[in-house]
Amino acid sequence: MEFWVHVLNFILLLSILGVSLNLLLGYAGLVSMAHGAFFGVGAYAAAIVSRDLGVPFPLTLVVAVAVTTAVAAAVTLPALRVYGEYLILLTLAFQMVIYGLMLSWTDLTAGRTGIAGIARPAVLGTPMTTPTQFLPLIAVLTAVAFAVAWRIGESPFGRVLKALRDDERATLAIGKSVLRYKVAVFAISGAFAGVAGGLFAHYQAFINPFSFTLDRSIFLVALVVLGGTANLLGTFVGAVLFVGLPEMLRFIQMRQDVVDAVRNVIFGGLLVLFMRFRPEGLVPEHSRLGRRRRPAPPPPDVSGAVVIARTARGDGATALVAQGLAKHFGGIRAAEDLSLTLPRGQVTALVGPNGAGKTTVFNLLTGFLPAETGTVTLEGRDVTRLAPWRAVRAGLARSFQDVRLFERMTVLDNVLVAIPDQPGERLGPLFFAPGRVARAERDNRERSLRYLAFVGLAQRASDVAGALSFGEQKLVALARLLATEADVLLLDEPASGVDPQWVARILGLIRQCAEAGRTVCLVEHNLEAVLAVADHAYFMEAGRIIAEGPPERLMADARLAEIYFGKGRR
Amino acid sequence: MTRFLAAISLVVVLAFLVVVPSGQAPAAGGTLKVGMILAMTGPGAFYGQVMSRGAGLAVEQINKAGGVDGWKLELLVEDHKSGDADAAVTGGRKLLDVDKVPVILTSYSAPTLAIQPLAVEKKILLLNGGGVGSALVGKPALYNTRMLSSQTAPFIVQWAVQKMNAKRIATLFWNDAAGQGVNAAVKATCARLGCQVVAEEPHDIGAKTYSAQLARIKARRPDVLALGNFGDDVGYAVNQARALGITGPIVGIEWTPNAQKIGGDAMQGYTIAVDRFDPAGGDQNTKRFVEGYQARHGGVPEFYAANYYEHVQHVLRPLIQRIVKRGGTPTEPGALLAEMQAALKEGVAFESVYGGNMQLHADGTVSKPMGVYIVKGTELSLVGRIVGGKIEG
Amino acid sequence: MNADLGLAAQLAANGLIAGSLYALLGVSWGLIFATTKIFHFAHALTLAVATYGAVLVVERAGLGLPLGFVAAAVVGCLFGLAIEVGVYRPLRRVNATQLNVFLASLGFLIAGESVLLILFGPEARALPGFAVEGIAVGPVAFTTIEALWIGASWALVLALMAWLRFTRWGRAIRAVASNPDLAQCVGVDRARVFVLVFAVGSTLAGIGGALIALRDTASPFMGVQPVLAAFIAVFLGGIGSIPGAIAGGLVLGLAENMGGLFLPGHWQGVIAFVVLFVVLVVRPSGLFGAR
Repeated sequence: MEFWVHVLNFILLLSILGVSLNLLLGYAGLVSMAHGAFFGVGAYAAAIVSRDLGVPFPLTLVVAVAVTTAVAAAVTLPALRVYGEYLILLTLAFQMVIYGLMLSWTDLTAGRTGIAGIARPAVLGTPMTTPTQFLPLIAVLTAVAFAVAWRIGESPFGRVLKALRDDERATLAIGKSVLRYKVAVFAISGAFAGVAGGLFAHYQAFINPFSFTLDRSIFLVALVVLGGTANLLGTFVGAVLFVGLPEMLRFIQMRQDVVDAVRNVIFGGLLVLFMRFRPEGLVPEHSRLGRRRRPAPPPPDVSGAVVIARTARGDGATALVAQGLAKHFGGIRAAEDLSLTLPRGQVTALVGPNGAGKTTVFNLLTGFLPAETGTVTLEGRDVTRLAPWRAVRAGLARSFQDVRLFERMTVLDNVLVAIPDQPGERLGPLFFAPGRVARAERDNRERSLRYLAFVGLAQRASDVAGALSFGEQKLVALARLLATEADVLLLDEPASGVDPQWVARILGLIRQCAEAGRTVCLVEHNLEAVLAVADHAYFMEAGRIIAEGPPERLMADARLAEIYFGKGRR
Repeated sequence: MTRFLAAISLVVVLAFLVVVPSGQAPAAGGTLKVGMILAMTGPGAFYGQVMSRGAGLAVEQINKAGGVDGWKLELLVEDHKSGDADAAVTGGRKLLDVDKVPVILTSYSAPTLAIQPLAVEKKILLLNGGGVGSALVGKPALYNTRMLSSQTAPFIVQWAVQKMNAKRIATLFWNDAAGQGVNAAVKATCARLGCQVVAEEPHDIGAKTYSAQLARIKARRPDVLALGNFGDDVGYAVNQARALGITGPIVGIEWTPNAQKIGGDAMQGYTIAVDRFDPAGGDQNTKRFVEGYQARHGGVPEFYAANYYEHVQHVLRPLIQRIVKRGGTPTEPGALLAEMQAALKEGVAFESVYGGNMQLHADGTVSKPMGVYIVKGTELSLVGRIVGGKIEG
Repeated sequence: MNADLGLAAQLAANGLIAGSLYALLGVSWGLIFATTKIFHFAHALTLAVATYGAVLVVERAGLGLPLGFVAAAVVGCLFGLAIEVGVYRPLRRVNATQLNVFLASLGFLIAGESVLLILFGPEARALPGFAVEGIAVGPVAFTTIEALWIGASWALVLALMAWLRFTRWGRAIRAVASNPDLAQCVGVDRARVFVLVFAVGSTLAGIGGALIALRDTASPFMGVQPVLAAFIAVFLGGIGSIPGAIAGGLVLGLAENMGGLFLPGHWQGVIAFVVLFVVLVVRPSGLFGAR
């Protein structure tokens, strides 16, 4: 049975790599075409310190993990600025550079010949050489890897990763430091690859660059995607199917070269067909297999209105003051000499024709666009240069015209993820203070349900957000915005594109927020909505504020109406 | 969803049930299984095919004659995908665990090094007739029946210095143990004979373009270009060196008919020092092999086929005979390996298809008849014999 | 010193030769990518399939090299179209993410290469019929094949640029590439433009493949390296810019080869990706792209 134990060991090693990649690809939505290289970095690190420095076994594994973690984190730094196809190409470039170094830096790596005679570890005085002797060690480390990945993936930390995957801008807009999460998840992923690499080097006792090719990276991506992203069981199923099954082909009496080619045809073909017909993979993310069964949320016995009260950060009459903001795109003036004040507990509207720069104002206020000149003062504090996520933490949050929910997450998770300062978002408490994390999670869950109760969607809590109607999505977005606990809420077209009965409901909720002491500023095309909800309005044209006053007065102004609707209309 | 997964698990379990028992066929008394791990797929698939044919022919001949003292042979081939160590180890595990082979024939340096620890673990005999890296020397359980590149390379330098009057030599070699072995041997020999190595350019195995390396070599104005590469790469390198305007003699340590085809006219005058298998020459052993091969596969066998034919016909057969003679069982774990060690200690010489005997050494290297050859037309012709470390022109 | 100058000249010539081909491949891939935003890895398969088309026509049918090139162009064109219609279009219909389209492209490449392997075997196949001769200009030597590489690549690249600039369909492609929504508004049929860029890009890839096979022979896996070079050329130059892809290809070819002044030649492959890595980190919009 030694052969099958060997195959099992291989399945386990590759499933550690799969888990490592799934954290990146499945949870955080970050592509890595370099996992073969990370695997290799771990293997070479262990082999080289064992060969040159005589470092003994468990320590080599520590070195492998440390080196791979550092390398993975270092790759992230540029990767933070690039997305999508850039990330594919950047990691691909990294894969090729590392592979090239393994081949060409012969003094260190022995090139293609490889490093032979890597020391076999000894546990309790017995050397481990056969697959059966290795199995317990590999199995235990695989189990640990799955447990750690599962803990991370199903925690508040993992929730932020999924948010990041579904919508990076929206993740910034709920006050999460995208940068911190990206570096952290790359580092964790690297650590896992380091474990697999170090184990592999000692298990095989021989490594050469052939094991760490672009092909292996591609294979790993395919394994994770076919198994099912953001589901660890899927990765294990994928490893069994795509590593284990092909080994059985050895027993088929057929020419080896044909068998090998046929296997690739099947594998490649499956990839195409899955992308077309089952892109979620064999075990989908929301499959109940492989994860804790979530009980249906109990109906909250308290009215939602309680949770919307402001958190009392300041007490002056004005919550936010902007002065002299300016922004140009090329030669186009998007905003110029823009000043406005948001009085506490009131609803202020920004109106104006299309392209007047209203959304740009939101972007400038919240740091999504850097202002060229001017200042933004929130509760007496200068927030002009703050990163968007820091502005949210300071109490200034915005919504998006196109809603930008985290579409593959549940409604509850969409709100839950926005709650600030969850202990489970930090890895320390997550692993060393599980009790505190669990208590906070229970409280936050209940709190999120109340936000949902406030907008009237508590009964949809466990539905996937992407399945909701547009009007419902707008309500969830409002609940998510409230959950950030920001006092100043900037709403971008909260009532556009929804049916009239939804408009009335949304406007009612906005009024309630203002009455509870939150400060609201909204951009809205629907003038009736503005009339109904706003206390004060600014009128913008071509990047400037040209009038302000009570909404009724602005709308009665013939000159503004002409600008708004164009000449000869109305 | 659950049903879908259940269906898949069922398929997996059934597949295991169908496949596993078939792998556990009981070791039939009187049959000795010979394992091979070769490049059956990938860029080196040609070699794998030729090698398995060579060994297969020997097995056929032996079995037709009633086996070796009653022991029938059976050949089992696994694939290392032209150098993939993972595939080699998995294939090796299968041969050792499922088929319980007492001997494995391997090729390529890396896969051979990768399965060598397994051979030690299971006390089985490992024979390599393809890989030529110097890292293959002195490994327990591993015996090479092809002369290593570091053994042949000194003679080509000697030839270049004596016959071509070379003062400045450039090297272009595989960036692996085999190529680096050639480069090191060229440098060492040059230091001894008073020539100078003016450029050392490694290249990737299977490279199609050598323009950067050859440009650097050309700029150093060498008298002679020495190649430390193998297979098709020889043809590409010679061809491109000529196209780039390198006009001096080119020497090397390998020539294959395929490389000749790729190199074309540029190969004219290319000179090599090798333990050359000559299908037209040799003795009775050579004849039996070449005629058998032609009858079975058509065409003249390459030396890669010859080496693996030798493994079975001229190494395994006498070893099995020795074991049977002293009343042992050749399939017993460790028997073949121990017999090999004993035979070498006694100084037993093995027969060969290269003409005469080959001498295996305790460090795992071999000595075979060597010569210097030059390409004339599309064929090699002998210009000097190497006897006792000296070239006789 | 003289030798060093000679070396520099030879390496620059090598760089120009490789760079011209990279420019051609970069343009062929970049046109598809800029217009459709598909990370079309299977371009490598198009290149290989088209090259086998040429090899079959010349070697098996004995029809002469010029017809071989015609075959490469036609096979490339049809195969590229087949991928667009048979693989990508159905994926667009189900709103597949960009990553999923990329993975499908990869899967198609893996499967396709193995089909080639089963049909034609693993061994390298020559594309015969070209009289190879060495040409020496001062210290610089190259072959007639490499002269053809340069000539054919530039002729095709310039022809493509003219076509994009001066014809109605060329302008439609540029419109879709720069602003798909706007183009849709003014009545450009996006689906037809997609078909068109796949046809044109794949034709160029097919011819590029035949050019490569002329010097380096054809094999089932021949497409990946050249197409990786094409990716690099496009991203060096800046996405969406045809002149950028040309410049990127030249820079890549020169960097790979001029690296030979300082490093042994086998570092060539590493240099290309180090350059790409550095550019993506320092200037993600490409060397010649708008910031």
